[in-house]
Amino acid sequence: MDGSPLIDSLRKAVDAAPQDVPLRLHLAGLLLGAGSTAEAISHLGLVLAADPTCAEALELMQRAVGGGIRVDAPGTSAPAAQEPARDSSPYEAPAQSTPAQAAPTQDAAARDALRADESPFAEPSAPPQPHAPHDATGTSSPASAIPAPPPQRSSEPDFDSFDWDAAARDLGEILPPMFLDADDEELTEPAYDVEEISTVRLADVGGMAQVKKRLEAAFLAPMRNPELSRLYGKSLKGGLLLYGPPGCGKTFLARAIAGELGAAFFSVTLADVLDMYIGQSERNLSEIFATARRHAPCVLFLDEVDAIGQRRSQLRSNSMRGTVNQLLSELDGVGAQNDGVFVLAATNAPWDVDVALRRPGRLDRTVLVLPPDQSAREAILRHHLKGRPVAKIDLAATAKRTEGYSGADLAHVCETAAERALLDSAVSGAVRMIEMRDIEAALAEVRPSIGPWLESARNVAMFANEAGAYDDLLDYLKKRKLL
Amino acid sequence: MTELDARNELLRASTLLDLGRAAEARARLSTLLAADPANAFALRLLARCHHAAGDMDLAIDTAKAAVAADPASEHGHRILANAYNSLGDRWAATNSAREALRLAPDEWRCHWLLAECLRHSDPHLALPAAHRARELAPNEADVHVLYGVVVKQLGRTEEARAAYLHALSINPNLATAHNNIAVLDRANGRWARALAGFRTSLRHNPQQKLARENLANTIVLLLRRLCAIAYACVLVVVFTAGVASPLVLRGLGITLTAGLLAGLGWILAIARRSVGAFATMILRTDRRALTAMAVFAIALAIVVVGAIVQLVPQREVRAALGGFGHEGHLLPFIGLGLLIAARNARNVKK
Repeated sequence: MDGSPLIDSLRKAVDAAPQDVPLRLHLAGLLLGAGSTAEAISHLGLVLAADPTCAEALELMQRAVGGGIRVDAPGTSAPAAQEPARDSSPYEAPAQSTPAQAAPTQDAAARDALRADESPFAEPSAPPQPHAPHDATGTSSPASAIPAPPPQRSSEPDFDSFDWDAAARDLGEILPPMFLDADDEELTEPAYDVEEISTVRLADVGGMAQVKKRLEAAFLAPMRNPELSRLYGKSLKGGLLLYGPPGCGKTFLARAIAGELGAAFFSVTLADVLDMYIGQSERNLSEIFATARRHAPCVLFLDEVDAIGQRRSQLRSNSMRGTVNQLLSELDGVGAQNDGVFVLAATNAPWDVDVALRRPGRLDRTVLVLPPDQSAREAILRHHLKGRPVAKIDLAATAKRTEGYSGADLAHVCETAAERALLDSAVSGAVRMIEMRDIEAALAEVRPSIGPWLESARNVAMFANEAGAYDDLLDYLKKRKLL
Repeated sequence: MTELDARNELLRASTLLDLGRAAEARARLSTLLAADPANAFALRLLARCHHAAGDMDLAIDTAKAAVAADPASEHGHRILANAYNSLGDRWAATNSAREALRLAPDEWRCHWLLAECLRHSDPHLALPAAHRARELAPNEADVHVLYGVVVKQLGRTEEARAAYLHALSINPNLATAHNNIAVLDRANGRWARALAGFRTSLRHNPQQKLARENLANTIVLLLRRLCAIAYACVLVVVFTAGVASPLVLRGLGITLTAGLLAGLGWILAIARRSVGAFATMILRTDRRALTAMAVFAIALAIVVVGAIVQLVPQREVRAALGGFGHEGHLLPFIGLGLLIAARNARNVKK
């Protein structure tokens, strides 16, 4: 069933063209014929959500749901007295991005639900039949193990004996309702977005040769070559901590790492974790890791990890201590394996991260992400000026003048230059290009923002570097004559 | 916004503030207060956020609004007192602290705050409040540190040291306690221990400005004392040149030079061992340290040239000192000596 090449091809085609209704209807028909009722219903639900009067979809839905149940388009007359008092909302479409992926799970659940009602006389190897009509007790009688063909449209359905509650329960497991009541909490799913395989690669990151080399050696090469790593005794466990001044591309690098590994990218911040109810932050973390494991291979990116995993000795209240403890457990893979989950974390203040998080097996590799070098600055400036009306911008000279600027600062420079040109254009009434004078004026206005970070980093490198954790930072500060 | 939503927002803002994210907490509270401007809890939290962000005027205004919204709460008065204290307005801070204490006489924080406000003007008045805070919260490290500071101001240094050590037994990572113990060590002339103490304080909190200043001041103080010794050696050489034989003078010169160089070596060694790169940075960049090194170099050169090399013949030295009894010849030397002695006698900050 699931292995049918035609159905697989059609699934991919529907994923690529989700608005193609005839294609989707065709797929639904094939799925129904193959016995994948749940998946067929989900597709039909999408079609009906867009066009509730689609006759073909209604007919297929009727077939899917089973004989005796009439599926009416909104507005058509129905025997109101026999309508059960239930929420008769149209079916809600499943998550648009992953209907195909969701389908197997739904299908398995539907199959299990069906199997519970099947007769003991049914052949186990036979494909699941369309759902047999229930009697008043809610169970199917042995006599209907091989269900009757769907009734003709002209015949009156027997609403009195039909078990509406059971039908609602069955469909409720497959399709979530459109609107939730206050006590429908268990139906909500956490809204975590996992991006599919990232298209960014390290080659897309301009400059930063040293950082890329370090990433390759410390993280990518072992992950790509597990057998070699095992040969050399290099553990595949553990994560990577990116640290450095704000706005220097740590998140972008994380995305590039995900792309290099061919993994999905799942970014998590404090807002995704923090919750006010006691224990909920820990549950959120657990759910995040469970989501990452479900989407393996996946790069789980913990942004602002100094907030999620702050030093417990610095926490004044106990509310976050449990969260830090939960994070430690999840990184250790207690209760579940983290195979295929690559944990990356980023922070501006690694010295505020709990030391337990940095021990071997957790975030034990660190990479200092410094402000972009000359070639990286050129690439960043080119990127931010792309699509704007520019003329005769000397990128090399601008990059040379912006030593110590972060990526965010460079974006700000481009933005300021564009604003100047825009203002001039608005005043003069004629569009003019962004020129070098605009860039120069912007450079006079925008100063590097990493000063305060360097000050804090210097203190740490001087006084709190006994274990040598910040040797690379120390080298950088000495090179810049800040130490 | 429902009451539940408001409560959740408040809790979230409180957690954000605890995580050091005052700006984010402020944003959330601003939204909350737009819907409910008289929410005293939110106002108090916002005042704390302003304080954490360094906006003292805003902190004071918001704390006043919090007090107006809930005058019976000691917390609002306490936040107000804290803000005044940070701004340096001790009188207003003390008044607010007293009001907080009146509303909550058994709250250790109120006693602690009152002691903190009073100690700047009169440590004797601060002592009972500090003592009471200690009684009410014996397991809070901060109360012992404050008690130590107050008794030290009263000259009871051993009691102060005991209080700091007690604080460290509760929280060994308390940077303030390490710093204060180091200050006591320095006052007792235990230089190496003092430098190590400041270093330990900075290890626990590298951003601590006071400990960094103390460290720099200690190194500079040591260098200045070495300068004073070098200056004294110069005077000894000059006087000996007038009375002793060349051989004796040369021997004296060699001894003094060796001693001065040994002293300099010792200072550099303990500084380097204690604080490493920071010591090098101080010696390279601190104006006071550079001046002291220059004066030391000149003094050493005079000792070497005058006593060992004996570039200037002794008879000429004796002739120059012919007016030894006249104050005019000695005045520049005395003036310079007094200047160096006065600068060495300045205490570093606590």
